[in-house]
Amino acid sequence: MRFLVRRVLLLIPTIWGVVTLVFFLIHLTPGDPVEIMLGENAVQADRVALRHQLGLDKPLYRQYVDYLNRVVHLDLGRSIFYKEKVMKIIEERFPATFTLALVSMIVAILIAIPPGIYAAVKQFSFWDNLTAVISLLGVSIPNFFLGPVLILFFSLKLGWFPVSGKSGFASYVLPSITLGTALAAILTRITRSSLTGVLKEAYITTARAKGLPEFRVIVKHALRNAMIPVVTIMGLQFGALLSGAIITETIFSWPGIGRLLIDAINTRDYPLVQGTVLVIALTYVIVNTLVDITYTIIDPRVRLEK
Amino acid sequence: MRKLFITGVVIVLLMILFAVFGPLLSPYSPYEIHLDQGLRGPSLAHPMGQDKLGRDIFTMVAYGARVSLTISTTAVAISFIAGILIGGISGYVGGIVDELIMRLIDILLAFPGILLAIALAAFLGPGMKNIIIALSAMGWVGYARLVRGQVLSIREREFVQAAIAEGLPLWRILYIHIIPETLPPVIVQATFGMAGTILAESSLSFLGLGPQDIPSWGRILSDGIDFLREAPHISIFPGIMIMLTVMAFNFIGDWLQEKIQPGGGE
Repeated sequence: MRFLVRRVLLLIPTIWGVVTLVFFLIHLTPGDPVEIMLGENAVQADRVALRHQLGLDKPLYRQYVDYLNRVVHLDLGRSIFYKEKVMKIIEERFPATFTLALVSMIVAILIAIPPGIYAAVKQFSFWDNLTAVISLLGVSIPNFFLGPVLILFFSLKLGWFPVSGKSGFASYVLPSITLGTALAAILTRITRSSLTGVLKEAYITTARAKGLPEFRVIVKHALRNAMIPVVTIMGLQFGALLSGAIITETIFSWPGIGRLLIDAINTRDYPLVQGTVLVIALTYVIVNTLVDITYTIIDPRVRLEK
Repeated sequence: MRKLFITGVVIVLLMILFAVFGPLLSPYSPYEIHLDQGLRGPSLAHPMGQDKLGRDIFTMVAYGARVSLTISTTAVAISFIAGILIGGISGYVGGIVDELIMRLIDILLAFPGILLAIALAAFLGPGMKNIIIALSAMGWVGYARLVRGQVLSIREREFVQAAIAEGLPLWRILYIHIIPETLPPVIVQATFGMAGTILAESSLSFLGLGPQDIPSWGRILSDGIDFLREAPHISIFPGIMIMLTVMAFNFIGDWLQEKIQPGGGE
């Protein structure tokens, strides 16, 4: 319980820091942000209005206090391009990103775990080496290259899946493979290294000595413990999928917050950029904390060490 | 694994040679436009084909190699030095300084993957210098955390305690006794860091946040996406270059990691 409280309390300075950093982003622009957003030909009245709307006419400390105050009340300002509340736009787009990340996670698990187990069981074999090379390729292929290659073969040449957009099950296939491949590569490696470690433990030797069939030894005895680090990494990587989604969504015109962020950057819609960045970062922090807590509940050894 | 390491080193060396001499070997300029030859596939005169404006992809990719390698190497070098200094001080001095630096690191780590670099690049504006700033701001954290952890354990070792007892100044203790001890894992991390930074740089360029006036791998690739059906070569060649380079650094990093930490892994 004390651990839980401590872990949640530790979130506060981090969240405050993230909000502060996001607040200062707009002050990094070379020159006047209002000028950049509206362009050189804007009318003076519009400039004054926007400057006032963004609070940029106030002293810096006042802007900062106001910003913190608004964020606490879940008000992220208004989008300049969409003329709507930033929070409302993000709420509409968030589910698409979340489901894409979830499906990609499932795809990654399906691709990753079986070869990882096989490589560990047949350590140093040809298949083990092959798996190692393929997973290195998997982490090396940029998703903005994999995505177009998949589109080229499976959409343009074979016509199996749609080129872009979100419309039903088929539209998930290519984006989730694009997003899930790097994670799959990481999971394969961790499954292999974790299971190789566990298979050397004494209780595995005991299980084998009892005459248990090898399949049972691996699935019932070894895998259970070997999966602990794998599950942890899966949790921690879920947030990374959110950032990977920025590029994947841009390639596939997926209506999520990743693409929203890039569109907002291109239209210089700074309040929307700040809002999206903030929401992605906070989601990541919260998911990581949840993973951490779950991990402690599942594995009591961690709690004892602390 | 040794074979992969050698493959990695060879690829990296070839990429460096390509970046240095590629642009000199090509008879074209990366800006030379031939509208009548737009989207032509690979030929003897243009081994990687031509883009929409008839520009030679080989030449653009060669210049792109310069841009990508320069940006990544600079960003990794800055991250590496800043990370060692900040991590070293944090671990050695301890106390409130350590606490503050660790909180800052926590905050920066709250931005997953390249989100921080995207956010910084979006507000700083595109361009080579800003990309380097964005990538370094994201990059130093990993090195700092690693060095701090190392320093915490090395500080307690006898030879360091002896140096402290002798009254050597802080910078000397750090510079002569502690930092050299922390280097092997940091160098491994820098190798993976090169792979990650090249990926991040080309991602930013792909998203249109990279340098605007010179070709970069990410941007050539993204320009080609609109012509995937009729001219896939535009995207495929820069894509292969990025993949090969990233893979090469991963091969090298993997082997080095195995060397300094046998049996250890992830």
